[in-house]
Amino acid sequence: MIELISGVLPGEHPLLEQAFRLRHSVFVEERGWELLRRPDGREIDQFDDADAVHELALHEGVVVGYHRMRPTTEPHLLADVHRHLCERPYPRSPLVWEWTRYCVRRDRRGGSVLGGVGSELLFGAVEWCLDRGVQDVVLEYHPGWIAYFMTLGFKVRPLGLPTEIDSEPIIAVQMHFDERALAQIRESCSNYKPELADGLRRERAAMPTKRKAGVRS
Amino acid sequence: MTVAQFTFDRIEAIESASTPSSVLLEIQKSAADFGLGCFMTAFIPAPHKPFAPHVLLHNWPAGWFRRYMDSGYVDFDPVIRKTRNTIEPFFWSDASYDADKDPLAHKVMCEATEFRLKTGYTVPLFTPSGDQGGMTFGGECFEASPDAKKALHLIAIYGHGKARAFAKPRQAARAATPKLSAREIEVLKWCAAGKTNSAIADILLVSETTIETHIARACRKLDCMNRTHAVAEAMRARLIF
Repeated sequence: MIELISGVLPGEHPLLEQAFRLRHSVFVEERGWELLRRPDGREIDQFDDADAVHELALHEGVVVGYHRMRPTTEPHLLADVHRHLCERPYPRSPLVWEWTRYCVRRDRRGGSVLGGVGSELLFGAVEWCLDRGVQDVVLEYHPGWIAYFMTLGFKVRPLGLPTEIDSEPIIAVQMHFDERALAQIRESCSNYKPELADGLRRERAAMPTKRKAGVRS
Repeated sequence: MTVAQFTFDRIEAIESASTPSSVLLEIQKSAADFGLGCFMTAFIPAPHKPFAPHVLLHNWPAGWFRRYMDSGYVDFDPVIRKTRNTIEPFFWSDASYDADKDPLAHKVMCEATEFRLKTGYTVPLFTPSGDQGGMTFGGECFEASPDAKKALHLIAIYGHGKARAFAKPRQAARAATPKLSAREIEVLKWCAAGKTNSAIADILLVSETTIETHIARACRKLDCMNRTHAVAEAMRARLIF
């Protein structure tokens, strides 16, 4: 099931605390991004403010996957920290969001490249965006993902060239998508269950309407 | 012009190419700028399966292509082996093998040089369905500046994507779009809306077994393994929206 949390600050929501610990275990302990290490085991940065939309994948009440979305009209990682990755005019707009901190708990990663929880998160993010008229996101990832997302029907536009960060090649991209991508993700997720989407719809209905209006304006 | 701008221009030229042969020319032009005359983009088949049907585009010397395919070199080629095991681009010289223990790998690499394929750079690629493939560039010498590697990495990704997009409609055209009954389409629409079989049975006032039969028949007509696959296939074929 997908749960969306927004308009809250760190420390204000128990599930979000679980998500911060998941982020710490994946990005710091597993991938070795030492700059993010914190003694309390919660990975939190300056972008985890009330503007962040946190997307959580829950299995039996436990956070097994996570993904963060931010409007590009507000400060965000790519524009404010990793701007050197971009060599094209930067697409800042209420209709362009940033995706970051995509992660799945180690023991829940599937046999395929993305796996069940990964597809669930991606499906949730795409559906959430489309529902708000958002069809463009900016993000940074390993260049190999470009081919992957193109197969899913995304139009991927590089904003710069691949650049090594901590000896991993990273590229900044803008990705455009529509409902067709949603159908493709659904197809690629072999263990897709319709109730996942139903859960998402319930969560969406519970989202504060203020934010929806804000995105559309 | 910056390398970034050069690369973006090349990618745009590849993306706007309207025929497979114009994509081939664009990729060839980009590779030639870095001193690499040959390229191939393909998916990797399962072991001992023929390679040729998985090749999307290439400009290999005809003699080498024939020999490689006829002799099943795909099963021994150390470059293919490394492509399966990494997601990072690599030089052919980094696809290491023990010439004594692996004489066939050595044979492939030596024979390639007879066709002026002395050095090369390979970009592995993966897809959501778990298919592995890539693009490989070869030639007599490669001016491997960091910028050249970055540019080739992106050109490979977009060239492969475009070549794949051309291959797909051809496969689809071979199998004419199947005809689904009105009822099968109705059931698939409810599947697409996220309903379970029993929920659809309640909506259409029939038994769940009837729904399963409709789905099974739709799957058979669409050549799909399961209902999810059938829904996506029906969407692609514009049978449902």
